[in-house]
Amino acid sequence: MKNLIASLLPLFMSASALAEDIGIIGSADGPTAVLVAETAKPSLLTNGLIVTAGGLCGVFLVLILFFFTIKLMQKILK
Amino acid sequence: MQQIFAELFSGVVDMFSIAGLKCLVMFVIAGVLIYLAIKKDYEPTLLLPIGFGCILANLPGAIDAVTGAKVPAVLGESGFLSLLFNAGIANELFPVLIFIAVGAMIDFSPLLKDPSMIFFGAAAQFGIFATFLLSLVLLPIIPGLVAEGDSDMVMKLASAIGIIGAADGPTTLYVANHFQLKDYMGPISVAAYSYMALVPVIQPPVIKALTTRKERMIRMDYQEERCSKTTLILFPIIVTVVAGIIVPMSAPLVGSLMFGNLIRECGVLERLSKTAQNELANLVTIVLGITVGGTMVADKFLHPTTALILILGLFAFVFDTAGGVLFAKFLNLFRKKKINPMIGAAGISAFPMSSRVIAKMALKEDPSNFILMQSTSANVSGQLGSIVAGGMVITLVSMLLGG
Repeated sequence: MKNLIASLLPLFMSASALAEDIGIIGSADGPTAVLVAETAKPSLLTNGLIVTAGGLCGVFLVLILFFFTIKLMQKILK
Repeated sequence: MQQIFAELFSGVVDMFSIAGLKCLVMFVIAGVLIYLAIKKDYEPTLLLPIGFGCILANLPGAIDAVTGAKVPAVLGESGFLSLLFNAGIANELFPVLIFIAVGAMIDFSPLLKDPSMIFFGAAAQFGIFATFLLSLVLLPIIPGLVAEGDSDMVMKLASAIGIIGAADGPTTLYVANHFQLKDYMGPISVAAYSYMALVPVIQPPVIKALTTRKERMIRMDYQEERCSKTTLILFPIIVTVVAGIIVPMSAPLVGSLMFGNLIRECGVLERLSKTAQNELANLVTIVLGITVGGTMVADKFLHPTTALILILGLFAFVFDTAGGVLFAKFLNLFRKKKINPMIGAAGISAFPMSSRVIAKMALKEDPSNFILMQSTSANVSGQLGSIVAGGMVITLVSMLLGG
């Protein structure tokens, strides 16, 4: 659980803030800090958020376009 | 003499080693898949070939008479499962052919008559991205799953795991193969196809947990707009062009799905339409299933990653269902005419099983409540949504990884 929370930290922090907090965590729990530093790189989770936001927007955008296409076809081909 | 005997019966000797024990475990797993296919009728067209392919892939290697080296009988360079893999999965041919067949089977007219249902095809993709994020967190934490510091591999694997939630086998294979995840192909495809088969088991409890009986009894008017032949013909062409321009990576899948659908709807290619729906679908399913089973080699499959992929895949599937239901409930906050929130769950790609399950659940709550047409509309939208989601994931992840 501790590891999970530690890994989720970068989701809510900037890279610089993360660097400071890794130090703080490190003073309390060395292995967790090492784990955070080595595995939960902010870039990985930042990239994940970009893919999530971009992906969901993209899917909705394309399907909204399909919706209007169908509506337009219904109107024209009535 | 002893050496000749050992070489002659090398397969038997192998079975008494650690590797042999692993093979036996794989035989048991294959047996379970074949049992589910035959006895429980869970996606037998896929689970049976996958199970048998798994048996073939884990048979001991044969000793080459010339070199004396052990050559895997079906997985060597010229083994038939390797040939099939290179011919159909490594180059993404089989998923594309499957989509031509699926396109020829799909009737988009319920969606064209009630296009508002299309948004559920997007909402039910939430689970893909939620699982993608969760995988990004979990994969690096659990030691030994992915090479330390290999964040590119984490991104690729997380993408393929997330797509399992769409309940869309070919798209899952397409994404996994695009990121060259051959070592993970076995667990990913087994998860994707197993959960597709388990729609009647997985979806109802999730839906019931998120809705009240009153909500499940909501009746929906079905106002049929006229759907002309021209609309049915133009729809696959326009969808291909729109999706191809906005998400080029989805073009092979959307294009093949819509090509199959155009063959069906054009009215002049009935013979080809029937061939796509029957012979093509059956042939590709046979070779796809056995080839996927061939990737389930003990050394790669009996690994903690497999368990994690199966768990995360289930998570993706559950959250896709939940995403659709919650989206419908959200819409109901602003609508006078309420939507039956169960419709949202049909926005996954498992067609037509999901729409049938939802319609059946509605009938169970109220024997005079027919929502099959609405759930079918949401279900075919899910087919489109999952392909677009797959294309978006490939595009964005490739872009971020600099590929």
